[in-house]
Amino acid sequence: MIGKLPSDARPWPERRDAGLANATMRETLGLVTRRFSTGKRRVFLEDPAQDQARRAGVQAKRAAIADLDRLIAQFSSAVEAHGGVVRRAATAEEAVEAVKAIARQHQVQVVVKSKSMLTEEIQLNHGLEAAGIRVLETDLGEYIIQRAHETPSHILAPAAHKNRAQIRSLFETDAAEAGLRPPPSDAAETLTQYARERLRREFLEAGMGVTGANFGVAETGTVVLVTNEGNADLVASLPRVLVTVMGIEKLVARWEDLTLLIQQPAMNGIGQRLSAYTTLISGPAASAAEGPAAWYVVLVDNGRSRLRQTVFEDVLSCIRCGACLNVCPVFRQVGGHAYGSVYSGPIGVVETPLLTDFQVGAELPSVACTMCHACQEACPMDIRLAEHIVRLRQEKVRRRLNPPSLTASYHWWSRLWSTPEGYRRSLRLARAVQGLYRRQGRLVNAPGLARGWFQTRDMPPVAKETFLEWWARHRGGAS
Amino acid sequence: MTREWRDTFRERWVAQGGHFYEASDPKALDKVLKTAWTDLVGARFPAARVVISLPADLNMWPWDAWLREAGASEVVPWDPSRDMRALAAAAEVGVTGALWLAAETGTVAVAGGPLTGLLPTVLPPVHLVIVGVDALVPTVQEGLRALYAEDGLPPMVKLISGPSMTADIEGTLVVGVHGPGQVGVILYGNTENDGKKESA
Ligand code: SF4
Repeated sequence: MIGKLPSDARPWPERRDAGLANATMRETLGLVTRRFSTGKRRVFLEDPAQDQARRAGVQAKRAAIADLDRLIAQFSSAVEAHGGVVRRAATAEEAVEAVKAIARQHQVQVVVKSKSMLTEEIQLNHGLEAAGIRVLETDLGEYIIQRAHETPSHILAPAAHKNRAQIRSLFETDAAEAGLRPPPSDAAETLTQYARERLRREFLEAGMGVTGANFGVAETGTVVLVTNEGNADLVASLPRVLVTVMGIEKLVARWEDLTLLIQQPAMNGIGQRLSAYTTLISGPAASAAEGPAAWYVVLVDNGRSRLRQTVFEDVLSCIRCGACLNVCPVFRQVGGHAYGSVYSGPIGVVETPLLTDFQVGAELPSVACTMCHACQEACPMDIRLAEHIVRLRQEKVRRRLNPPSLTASYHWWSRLWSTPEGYRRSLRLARAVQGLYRRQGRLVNAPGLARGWFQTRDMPPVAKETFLEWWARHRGGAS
Repeated sequence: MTREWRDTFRERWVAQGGHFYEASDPKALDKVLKTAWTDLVGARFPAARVVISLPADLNMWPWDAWLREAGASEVVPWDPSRDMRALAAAAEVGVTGALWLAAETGTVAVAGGPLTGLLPTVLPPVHLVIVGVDALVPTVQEGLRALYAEDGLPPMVKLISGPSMTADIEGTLVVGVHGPGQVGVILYGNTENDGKKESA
């Protein structure tokens, strides 16, 4: 079954330019991606043994994907043996329907959520709100962008595109609606304190909590959540009903596998040995005083199974650490929104078209990659991201997904440059006309089909005399 | 080994923003508790209310009296028959034990059960952990393995590796978002015995 992902209808050039024009976002992303990457280097240098755990973890993830059907069955019976309930959803719609049905059954009016890419993917909030249920994001960054009716710009720093003044004014409106005192200044501490107080009330009143999952352990029926704020803990321990929405690819077979993987998201994504809060849930509450009386796990496919037993299967090992985003020169400039998909950065370039069979993000492999391979080197799960991007480009040509003019121009270009004479002819031609297209010593435009190439690039002009020409003149005839 | 693990735990836990106190002679626990209280609660929360959920083996000490002496205005013991959500939300300090402490990551593991609660670890702005040196393990891996061996996992286990924090606003680090901004560990018992045995 083909997966469904939300998409941004604006064309790529518009999304890209909007990203490039957002100075706040570029500054914040520059700061956090650098901090994350430096931290990652430091923790791995300090604990060389961790790289062995990582490698063993990769094997565990690969083995789990190969054995997924059995693991899903095992996980489901383990969860149910502890008193939880497992629902399966083949598509995004089915997943939303399943969560809605649970909310209806328990007469839930308010839902508190912790951050989950999967719930963004299936547009859960939208579905619940359409059913008259109020949904509150509780991760600080997610809360900010929910107030602004926007989407995340980085998986780990969702509100990186907002500055303090903008956040303060969002919170002022929010405070007026909620009858609260607005934040007295735009200091990060003050704004954070406001969100803490604002959401505390909701936490205590919400009927249902919704979380994603970082890992699921089939053997024990355990779900693992990783946060730095502690909000997933509150979501999982205050409301009487808890729903965990989890992609099927999050499963690993054994408890031992979890011990290898549990540090990897934080080590690779943010350069910490472990996130401040890691929560392991293996059943509904032991007492009525805290924790959910009812626990549901909704297992979502939404296009994932399609990738199994294909050359792209390793994509399902992604632990959403964000390391590939942090090192990507394209992501660091344009930010997450430019990708027009919930999944941004290199993994988004690969996964968005794959999950949706090119219905969403078909342009990404062509436009959002410089082929530098930094992502592939950074990925702790050894996902061959850059190779996949090349494969996706090839697949696009095969399926004729590129505009015919583009295909034609690349065709002619490669014809021309596959013989020495063709190459030299193109240089002579360029030299003859390049005077028209020079700005400050660089070539900034060209006639005909080549114009598109220069929209976002420039290049040095062709030299008055190339080395080969010089060689032919001085030494060519000798000996 | 215990001593090395203690050193590593202390170094990493403190680097991650936690506070560390030690009572190598458990007789000094009340004094150490007072020091910790002054640092973490002190003037920040005068007349603080405490919600406390300790494992049975820690009940040999008079925590209620000690906490009041340190400055607590009220000490609410964990009682599943009461509305612990509201009580923990109203408290400024949560006091709990721990399953184990992992040295390598500076991590405190806690679990809820029929008689112990996890809300004191996350609702109040200050969380204080009281735990013996036997709880030290070298890594999270080891701790998790031990947990599994004890068959039947608790419904919820939490690994805490520092205060609640965020960098969601312009990348600025802020502590104390939804969970506590102040976290402290009081480690009691002698780590030296073990060390001597090793060198003998
Ligand atoms: S693709 Fe690799 S680097 Fe990127 S988020 Fe997934 S696991 Fe991390």
